[in-house]
Amino acid sequence: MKKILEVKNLKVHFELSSGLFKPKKVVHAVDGIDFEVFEGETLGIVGESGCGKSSLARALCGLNKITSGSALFNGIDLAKASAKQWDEVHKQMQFIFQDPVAALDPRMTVAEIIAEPLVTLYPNMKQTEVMAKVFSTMKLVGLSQNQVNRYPQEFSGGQCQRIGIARALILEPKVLICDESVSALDVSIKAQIINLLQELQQKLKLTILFISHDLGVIKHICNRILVMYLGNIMELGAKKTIYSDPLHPYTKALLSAVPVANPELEKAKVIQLLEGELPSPVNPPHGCVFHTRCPLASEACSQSRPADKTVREHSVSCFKVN
Amino acid sequence: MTAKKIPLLDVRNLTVEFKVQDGLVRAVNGLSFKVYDGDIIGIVGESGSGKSQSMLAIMGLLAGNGKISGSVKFMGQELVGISTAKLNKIRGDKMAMIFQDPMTSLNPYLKISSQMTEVLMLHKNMSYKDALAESIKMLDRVKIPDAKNRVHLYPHEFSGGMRQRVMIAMSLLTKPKLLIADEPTTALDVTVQAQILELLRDLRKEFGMTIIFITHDMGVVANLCDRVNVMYGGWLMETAAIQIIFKNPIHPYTQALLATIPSLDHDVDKLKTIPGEPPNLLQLPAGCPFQERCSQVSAACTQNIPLRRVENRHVVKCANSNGVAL
Amino acid sequence: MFVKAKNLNLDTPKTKGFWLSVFSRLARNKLAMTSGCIIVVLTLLCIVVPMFSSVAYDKTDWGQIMQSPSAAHWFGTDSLGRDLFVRCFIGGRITFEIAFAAAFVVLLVGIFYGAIAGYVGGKLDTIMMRIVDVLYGIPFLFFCILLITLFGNSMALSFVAIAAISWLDMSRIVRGQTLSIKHKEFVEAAMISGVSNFKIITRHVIPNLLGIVIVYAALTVPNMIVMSAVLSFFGLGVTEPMTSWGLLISDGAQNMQAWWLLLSPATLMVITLLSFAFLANGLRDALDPR
Repeated sequence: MKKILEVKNLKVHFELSSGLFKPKKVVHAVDGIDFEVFEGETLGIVGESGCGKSSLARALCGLNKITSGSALFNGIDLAKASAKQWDEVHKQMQFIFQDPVAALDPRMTVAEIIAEPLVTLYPNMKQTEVMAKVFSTMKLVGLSQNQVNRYPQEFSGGQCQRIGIARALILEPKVLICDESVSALDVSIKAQIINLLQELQQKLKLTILFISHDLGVIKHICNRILVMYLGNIMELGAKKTIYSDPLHPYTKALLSAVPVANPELEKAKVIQLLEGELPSPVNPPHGCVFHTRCPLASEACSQSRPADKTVREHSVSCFKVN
Repeated sequence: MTAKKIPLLDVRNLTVEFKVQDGLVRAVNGLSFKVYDGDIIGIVGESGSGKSQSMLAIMGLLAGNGKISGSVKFMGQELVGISTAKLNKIRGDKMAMIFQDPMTSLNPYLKISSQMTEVLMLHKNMSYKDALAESIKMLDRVKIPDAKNRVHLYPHEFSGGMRQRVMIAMSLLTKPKLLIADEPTTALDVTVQAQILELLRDLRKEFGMTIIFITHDMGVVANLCDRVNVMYGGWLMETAAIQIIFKNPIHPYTQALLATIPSLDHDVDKLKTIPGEPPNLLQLPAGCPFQERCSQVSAACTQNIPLRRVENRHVVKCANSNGVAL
Repeated sequence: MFVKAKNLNLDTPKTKGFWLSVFSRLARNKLAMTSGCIIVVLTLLCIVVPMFSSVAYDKTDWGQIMQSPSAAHWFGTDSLGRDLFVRCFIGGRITFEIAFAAAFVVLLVGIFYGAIAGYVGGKLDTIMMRIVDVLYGIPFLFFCILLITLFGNSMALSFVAIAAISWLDMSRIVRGQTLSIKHKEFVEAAMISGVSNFKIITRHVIPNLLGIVIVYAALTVPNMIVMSAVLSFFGLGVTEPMTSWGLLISDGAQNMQAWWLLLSPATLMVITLLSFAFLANGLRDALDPR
């Protein structure tokens, strides 16, 4: 399969402004990760708060600055891209936000919102062509044409997310990054939007990066899964094997903690509770970032970072897995 | 035949209405259910279901433009219409509530020690020294490390999961008979949620508490609860023990809800969806609020629908179900 | 806006635009609507009364000095025998001219200054806001006296002095709003769509702060009326025989036994200030229904 995105040793660090005389604090949101995305697949990125998945997604789309490392997309290194190059990237890669209502400008009509990327990046397009594209994209996401002059406040959360998806798709991108795009929706609406995304992926041959903390949704929609913790990748593998045979201790703990809608399974389940608290990303632990809470941790784990190794078709970052 | 127990909480025909600029919003409509000592009851619903508003009404925490009618009996005492003074003696003491966002339920300007000792000094007439010792004991019990020193910290100095534990500790100080938890783990990471759910189970065993747990996550219900109430559009649609409701849901909404959840234990190609949108409480149709989205809708759905008992402690509110009308 | 679906003769149902729904909410607020009407009526009177009055505002009449209100002179006369009724409204006209003109300039300068500082951030924001802080420190009257010394006394001077001081507040407010808007997801969505910074400010940031800005502008106008009155009270700005409410009140205060000299301009001014305050309140409620 063709590689569409190649990320090497990517770091996204934020500087926290502290006092004039104190040393600057740095948040290590994404701290040196490597992975690839193949054309046509849905890659799920899971993790809990502070793992860096949102910072990663936003960096890949140009909303956060990449501190170091490289991310090759369509021959452009996103870490060093100029503004013009970012315009080209955005024609191929778009973003869907978590809060569907906040992602829409309340002072603009649906038509204006959806058309904005097209009118900005293809300024020579005629009005009629633009409107035709707006209508066809609205149809694609299940919105009816006669809503074209309405304002976002008149729509529900699920419909607002459809508008956001339409806006992302109007440029006909190859890649969609969905940052917790269904997390803020009601359960009954979540399923509608998930189905829509799957339909669109098949129809338009999209590649999707799906960021979420909801392991159930990830399992349903993704082909491969990347597990992150405190800015590092813990495990990366195909969906079936990650869920049936998780190798990394963090993945095991994470999967066991997810409550399943099945009382018998829940009562019989043995949950691996993690001790301790999430360390601060300003001061990540030495060596393996998970060792402070890992049930298998030993002296070696605090000395150096484990390299990624391939075990049973997963890429795992752990000294204890063979 | 077993003697009929007196329920700890007996809600009959609870209705909560709000007067807003555009009309009257009926957030809760004729809610009736019983909670017995030692139960853990889950209340499940989406936006507009009335799950939170019904509990806020019971605790007397409704917004100013809210109106309650119906009856809520707690330990035999009627709560609807009693004076604030009498209500204050019960809530915080025998009935406690914890909320979704511990950051906004804890006063950011006061140390945890002040907030916790206030509860004990008020309800149990303890001295500050005794109250502080008791607070530290409770913080230890909810596994806050180094409780002796951490009790003097401010809320923002705790992480999200820790703050929620502090909230739980605070609500347990007076050993309440009933704990109402309004989505306490929704904003937490899944591993932290697992810890909090385990804590609640342990505490229930130790203190013999009854818990009402509001959530939209059926997985959490399966993990923690004995029974579940399913709400939609202000109505109680179905209530049953969890073994029954997951295996044999009767109400079309419960069936549809369970079918839309992508689950870890089985795979489907395409998720089943519920067509349409959550209800607009200002424009509810006559009769069942779910009729516009229901796959089994019929003419009877526009009429007044009684609760029907399908079997022992399995009650459904649906025009198309069998069962004995209550 | 830049895409006009309306041009394509679409049969779309009528929907309420943002400003229309704001106006309909405002219309339900009786106090705000009454205040709005009062302001409109006063403005019209200020334009019309001096135009159609049989007596000119500066016509002295030595036989009629210090007359209390009568059929001939509805508000009485002053120490030079001039009709107070006309003078009140010509004074109102001057006061409104200065206040509205200054408000307009303040809006323009304040919005752009604040939006650019807030949106660009970093060093530029620090420099721009420090300039504002320094200018804040200059005492108002001192500044006016300085201007008079340099440029001589005139009505234009009042306008410049008032505008020069008032835009500082507006820029601070706009900057604060911009800071919160620029982190909103729809601004980020515009960035990902390749929209330039300047277009983001004009298309997304400024329209979303107009609500707060309008409310603040409605509150600024009374401030300016008071400031121009203060200037006139001290004999700065507007000069005789032209008058403003400040000058009239100053005259009235010096001749307290002639109560009518103080009552009329003071009442008019108080009514105007209160009306603006109620209107601003109503606007704020209408713009933020939650």
